[in-house]
Amino acid sequence: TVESATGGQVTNKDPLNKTFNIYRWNPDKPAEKPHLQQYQVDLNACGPMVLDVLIKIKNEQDPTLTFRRSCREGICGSCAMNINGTNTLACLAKIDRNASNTKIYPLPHMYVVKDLVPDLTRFYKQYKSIEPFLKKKTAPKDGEREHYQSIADRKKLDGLYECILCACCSTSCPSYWWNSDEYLGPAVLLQAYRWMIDSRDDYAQERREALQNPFSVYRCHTIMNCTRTCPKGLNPGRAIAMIKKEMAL
Amino acid sequence: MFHIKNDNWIGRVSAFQATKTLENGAEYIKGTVNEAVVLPPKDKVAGSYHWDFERLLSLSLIPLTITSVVNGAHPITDLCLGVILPFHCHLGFDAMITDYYPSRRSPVLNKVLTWSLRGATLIALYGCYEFNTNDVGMTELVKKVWHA
Repeated sequence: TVESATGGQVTNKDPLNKTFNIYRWNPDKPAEKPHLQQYQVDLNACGPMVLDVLIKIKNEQDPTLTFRRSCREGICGSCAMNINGTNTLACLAKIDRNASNTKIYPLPHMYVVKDLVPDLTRFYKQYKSIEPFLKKKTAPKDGEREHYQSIADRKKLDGLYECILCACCSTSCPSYWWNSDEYLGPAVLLQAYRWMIDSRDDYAQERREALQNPFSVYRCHTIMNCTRTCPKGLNPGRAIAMIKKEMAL
Repeated sequence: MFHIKNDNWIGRVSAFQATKTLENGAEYIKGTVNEAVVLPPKDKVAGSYHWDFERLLSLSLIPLTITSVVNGAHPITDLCLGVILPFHCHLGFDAMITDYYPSRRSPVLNKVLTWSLRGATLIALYGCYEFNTNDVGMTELVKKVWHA
């Protein structure tokens, strides 16, 4: 049954029980192999998104289920995971009410800290390596307090600045799976491009030159899993293509 | 696997320092958590020039193939095909070797495969030359196989 917040009349909904197969692994018992644990959840007594299910399971059934979450609205990027084979944010992934079961895995080809929590250390180190901050060659003139930018130039950043670094795209890229130590991955390359074409930044040429090696950019073979899976609707594949175009001097 | 250094809570925190090492080639984390990844040394030849050359060859194959199909065999187009196709295929296979057997992770296999590929490309180049010079030529061959 569904409780009404205001205490009024509510139609009784029959429980709609669905199975959720969730990847579990406990680092405190490392010898135990990772396994899928099944949970039954009444979808009629739960919110519509996969994150609602995870929180409900953690509250009512299994408090040891571990996952990252924060904003529950698709802006922080914490709850990135693989749901039914697709990397998305759990808080934005609607539960398929017709499917008999839903599979929830951590982001693919990442070391697992526990259950659904991947180790994103290398991802963040790669982000740091592209120097994601404004770099100027000259100090600002006296009295000048803002870096002016035309509307047209600001428009170039649309579709790039919205990235929340959830790592869904990079962990969906087979090239990143096979070469995650040297290939930067679509998320980091999207941000590299964002700084390359920012009109206020003076180091575009140096940013391009830093990527002159066979691995950082050129492991991309336009597989395009990244654009397909981005939960924010961004296009890292296109950004990488634009980097290649800018570098093809 | 994960190495648990000692049993207190500090050990627990650093326990997930997954030190998957294959010598030093593919160690998971190089340096501390706060250090940026070191980008490989800059090399335009291996970088953008290589990419440019790849696309140049691919692009040139389009008009080459179309004229061969439309106009039939011609010694010059056959010569171009006999040089560009082996190089194009070499670059394609070389990209696969770099992807799946990079030298930092499989130094021996990478060398073996790279040199085998170079040998195979040389043989292919020689074979194309032989075939174009002393036989019907590549376009004619495709025509004959197609209409066989």
